[in-house]
Amino acid sequence: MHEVSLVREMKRLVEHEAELRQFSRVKSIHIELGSNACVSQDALRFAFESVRSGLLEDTNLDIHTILAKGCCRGCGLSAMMTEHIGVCAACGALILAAGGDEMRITELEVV
Amino acid sequence: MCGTCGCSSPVKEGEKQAEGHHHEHSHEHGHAHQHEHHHGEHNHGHTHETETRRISVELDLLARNDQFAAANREQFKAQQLFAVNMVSGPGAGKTTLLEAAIKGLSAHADVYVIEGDQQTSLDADRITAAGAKAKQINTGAMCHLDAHMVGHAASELTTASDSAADKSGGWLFIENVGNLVCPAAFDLGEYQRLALLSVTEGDDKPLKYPDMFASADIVMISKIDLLPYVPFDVEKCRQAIATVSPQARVFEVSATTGEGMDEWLTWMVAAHEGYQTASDPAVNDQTVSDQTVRASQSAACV
Repeated sequence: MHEVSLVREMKRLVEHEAELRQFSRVKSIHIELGSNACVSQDALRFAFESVRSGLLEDTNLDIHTILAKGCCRGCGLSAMMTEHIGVCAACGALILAAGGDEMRITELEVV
Repeated sequence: MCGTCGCSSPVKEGEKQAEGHHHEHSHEHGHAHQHEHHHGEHNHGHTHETETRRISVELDLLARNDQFAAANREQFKAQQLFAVNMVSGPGAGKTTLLEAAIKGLSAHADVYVIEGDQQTSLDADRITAAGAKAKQINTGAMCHLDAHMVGHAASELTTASDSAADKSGGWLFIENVGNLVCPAAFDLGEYQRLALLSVTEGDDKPLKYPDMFASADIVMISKIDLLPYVPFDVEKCRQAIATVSPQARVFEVSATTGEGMDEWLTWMVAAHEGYQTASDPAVNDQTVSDQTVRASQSAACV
């Protein structure tokens, strides 16, 4: 549910950027979203459709997923993780994810 | 007035804060989009259709919350307030645990409580009746507390209090909205994050909601007086906590019978003394050891 708050913040940041860089319309917005950011992509898209207005009307939302990295406690093998906890493919020990909490706007295509 | 955001509107009782507030900025702009051409005998102005531009940015969606959280943390330290962000699913017993804690802690220092609920001031009323100073935030449609609303509520709560002026400090409990997902991402400026899990829930809950439990400094297993009646395996739960949150301190308590409360409250009193004397509370012994563990883990990683 907090995806609505995040889209509101997204809108606030873009409005500020529009003042700084003089644009009136955003054709697309690119964001990076970590796999452990506690954000549902579907909910974020739904919130984006519902909350956007003004500058973000007709804007394409492009989400780039950043996978968390994990390091096996047993054998030290590193792995890319889509979930918080995983099982090491090499030794079967548990792997805990680190990072993957990114939520940031990286690029805007503006007019 | 809020030192970080400059806004002058305090959080009102029951006021929905979801919209936040607007910051005005003014900027100088040197260029205009209109210009004039001369064609023979006549002059006319027109506007060009501007081309699409790509702008690279680095705009963190949580940056503003994190700034407010950092300001809160500094303010709490200045006031010697040991801030605890309490998170759990609905009905784990946060308010009941607080009522019991207030009785034990208020002999040592003041206890302040910020209550986050969707509606009503029922919890704040219970906390006030238990002897602490309480401030209710009604979040309305929001599923979590954020650092901005907590900063305002804390400032009103402690400014209104007589004893805040004497700088004796105390505990500030922030009872978050009952939700094991959304509040995980929002730092409130707390010193300790306390996740609560009752034995009437599942012993595998830390594995099912790892984001929240992984970020906890303290995990409390509550309602242990009900253990004879429920299929809850405490050891299995402790293993699940150790899996997702190896750094967390675990306490088993019953706020109703008082079992385990002494151990937790004794730790809270000692931790509060350590917090007051620490020059930089952000770097306590536990945080340092966590960082060391993480660093050694990543160093071993291939």
